[in-house]
Amino acid sequence: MLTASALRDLIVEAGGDADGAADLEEFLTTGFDDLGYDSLALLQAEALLRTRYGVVLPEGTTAELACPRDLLAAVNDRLVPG
Amino acid sequence: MSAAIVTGLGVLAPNGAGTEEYWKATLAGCGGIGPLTRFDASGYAGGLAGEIGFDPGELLPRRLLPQTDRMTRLALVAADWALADAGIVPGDRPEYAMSVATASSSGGFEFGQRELQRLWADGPEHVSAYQSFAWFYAVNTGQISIRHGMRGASGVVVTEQAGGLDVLGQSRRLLRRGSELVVTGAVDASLCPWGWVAQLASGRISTETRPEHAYLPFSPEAHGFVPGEGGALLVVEDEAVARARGAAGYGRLAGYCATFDLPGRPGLERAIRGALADAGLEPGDVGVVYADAAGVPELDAQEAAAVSAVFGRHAVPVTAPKTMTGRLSSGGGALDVATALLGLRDAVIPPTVNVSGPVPGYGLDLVVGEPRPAAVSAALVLARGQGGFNSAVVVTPVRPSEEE
Repeated sequence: MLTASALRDLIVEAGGDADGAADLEEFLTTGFDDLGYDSLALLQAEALLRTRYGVVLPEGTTAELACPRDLLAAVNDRLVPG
Repeated sequence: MSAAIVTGLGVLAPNGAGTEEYWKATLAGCGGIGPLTRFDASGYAGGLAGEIGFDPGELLPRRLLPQTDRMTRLALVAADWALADAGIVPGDRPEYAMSVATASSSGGFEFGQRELQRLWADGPEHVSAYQSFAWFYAVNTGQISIRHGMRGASGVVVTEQAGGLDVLGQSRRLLRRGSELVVTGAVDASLCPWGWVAQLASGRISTETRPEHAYLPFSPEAHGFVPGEGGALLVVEDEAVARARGAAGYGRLAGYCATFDLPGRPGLERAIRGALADAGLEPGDVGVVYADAAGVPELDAQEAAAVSAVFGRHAVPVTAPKTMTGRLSSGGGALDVATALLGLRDAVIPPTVNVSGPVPGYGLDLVVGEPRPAAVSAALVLARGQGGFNSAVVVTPVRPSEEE
């Protein structure tokens, strides 16, 4: 199970600090675009999820996710099957 | 368009971060060459460099750090300073009338080396997604363009040391094609093992360990050069547009020419004559030459011959303030142009340091040791890039009373 704050750390490591959204809950529910993360930042976050947690998201998954909370759900679906 | 004038300078040099800090150090003859500290160079030949002693990342949004090499961080800081110096607020200008044109010699080698090491050691999935552009020659241009919303025609010039001048020629072309302003110049930095061995392969790096004896262009003891990092970014504007907003400017880009060496026929003299012709000047109009100053005897002799052929022996003051910074790859030519503009402004020629005098046979009036007061009406800047590139730029003062 990946915690919300671990996911935030991973995204920040991948793509740098978010624009605004100092609060964790706000970070989770703000769109990636509004946080300032482009497709490369998400690609890099996907790579870190793969190498750190062994989570392989189907290609194109992150492009369809709106915000970090969606990504957290997608990751934890795979970490905790069922 | 009217003339191209330089309205802003952003200098990041081993002997000074910021234009006035650099200029003060340069006039005082204070150099920035010292032992390499950015990596453990003990296993390599050489060991001296002109390093910039502050972290540019501290002046940038942390967002940009995962995706930028050191050279890009330096370039972004220099661009910020140049725009502030010019009094330009990019958001107030038409976005498609602002261009970015930088030069680069190696791209982001430090970033690239780290990611290649990850590729070999850990596998492709460990390579940063940002490797896709962070190493690339054009990345400084791209990042400056994105940061300031400058969407006019933009690009990169890669001609090694000559690039810092060639890109100023390119900025003039962009103005002619309709841009109102161009952020231009160059900042290079590749003081990492990969960058270092690439420089060593030139066979021109000084292996001397005493900083004051390591880079002695035109001297009888010349034996190579010291590499450095940094350079200068400039804001170049259409003069009529700059005047309309009340900007005075440091000087005009009055002339530019580039040539290529032919086998057995160095092309530097042709570049000098071409730049003078482009500026509509005679040799006697030029009051100072900022030399390429390779620091390699054969190349020094070629440069001295070219200068003497055009101007006559001992007929024009020649200087190489890069003896204080080392050779900065494409950043060198851009920094020399910034230096020449500051010299025009303050009516002074900054010195060549550590060299007691040139080889007598060269016929050079080399400004050594101390700055020389000189109100000049045109300065010539020379740069040669490894591989046969020669470039020359002429800058002249802006005289507000002149009619176009």
